[in-house]
Amino acid sequence: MSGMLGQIFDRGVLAGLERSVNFTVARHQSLLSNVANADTPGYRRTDMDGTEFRRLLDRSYAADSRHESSAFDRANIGAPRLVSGPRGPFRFSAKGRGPLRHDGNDVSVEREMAQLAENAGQYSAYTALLRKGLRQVRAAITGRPEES
Amino acid sequence: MAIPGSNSLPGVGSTSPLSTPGLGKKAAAETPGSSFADVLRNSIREVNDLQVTADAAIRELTLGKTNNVTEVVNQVEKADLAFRALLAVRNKLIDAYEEINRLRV
Amino acid sequence: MLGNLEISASGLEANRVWMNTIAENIANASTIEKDGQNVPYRRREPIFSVRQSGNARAVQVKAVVEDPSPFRLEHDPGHPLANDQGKVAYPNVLVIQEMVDMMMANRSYEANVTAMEVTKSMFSSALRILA
Repeated sequence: MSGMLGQIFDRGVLAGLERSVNFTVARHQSLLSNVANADTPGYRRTDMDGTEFRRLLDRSYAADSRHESSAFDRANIGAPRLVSGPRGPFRFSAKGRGPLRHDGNDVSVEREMAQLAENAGQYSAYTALLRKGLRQVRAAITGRPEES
Repeated sequence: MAIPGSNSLPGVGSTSPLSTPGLGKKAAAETPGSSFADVLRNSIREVNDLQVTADAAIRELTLGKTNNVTEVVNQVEKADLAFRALLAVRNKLIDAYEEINRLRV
Repeated sequence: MLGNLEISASGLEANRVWMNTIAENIANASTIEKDGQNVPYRRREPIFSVRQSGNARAVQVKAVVEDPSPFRLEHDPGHPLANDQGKVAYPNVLVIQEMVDMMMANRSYEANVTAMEVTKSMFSSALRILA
């Protein structure tokens, strides 16, 4: 977004939270696929590389403070939305594969459920903080501190 | 999110003694370095500091440097309440200013 | 977000088919006769495969096939269905194995149920931003 709205929504913590939310949403889909295919012969689990994502996020925060466009912007053409497709830089990493069973499947249902819960917890935290931040922007706009 | 325009609140730049000159002089003499303007400026700075702290906490959370969500939420809530309190004060100031303006002297 | 429910639903359906197949195997573990002949029940099992749609990988039952492993032969010359060597053929079903499979299928089914609940709660969290 350009101008005033861009100042509010495309920078700083609001943008960081939105990107983090998008990442957890994309990761959720991978984990669901793993659970559904826990018994499919030859299926290998997929996940998303949180480390790489956070590295880019860190650089994005640094770029914000220098008022530059971030690595995210260059990758995603503008808005702080994670490209959730094959072009995304941290899509479906091959890491974290567990023990391989005789049917060629490497999914551990327990591990997937744990990851699912943790990821969903992060999603809840980020959306709650995003909500808080957006409320604050709304209060600043309307001048009404009691609005929540 | 620093608060812009904190120097542009009406009437804040100077201490204007109110209707009774004697009272005004006495008040100024009793509290030499701490005018209402200073109090307001300090409050704004504190709110800004709290906001900066809260933002830093959120960044740490998204970067995975902390997973103490409770702490982050506390910081955010404190900063938010301080901001809203300041907003309420600002609204009251504007109301008071407008009311004073309406007084026929 | 709603496409995610579809992924878990596919897991539920595949596991349900699996559990039904196992139940059929167990129910017919002693079926050795058809039209007066020694025709044992042949074990069946589902073949799971991935159903991909974009980045979502659901599961589907491609087919339910018969287990080609040989029937179990028991030496019982007095049995009315015994053959010339006095052997009776029994289904290639090991009930113990079927019970283990049933536990696996049930666990996977429950996992997909839980996963669906997580998806639904995330959806609620998203809507709460507006509330």
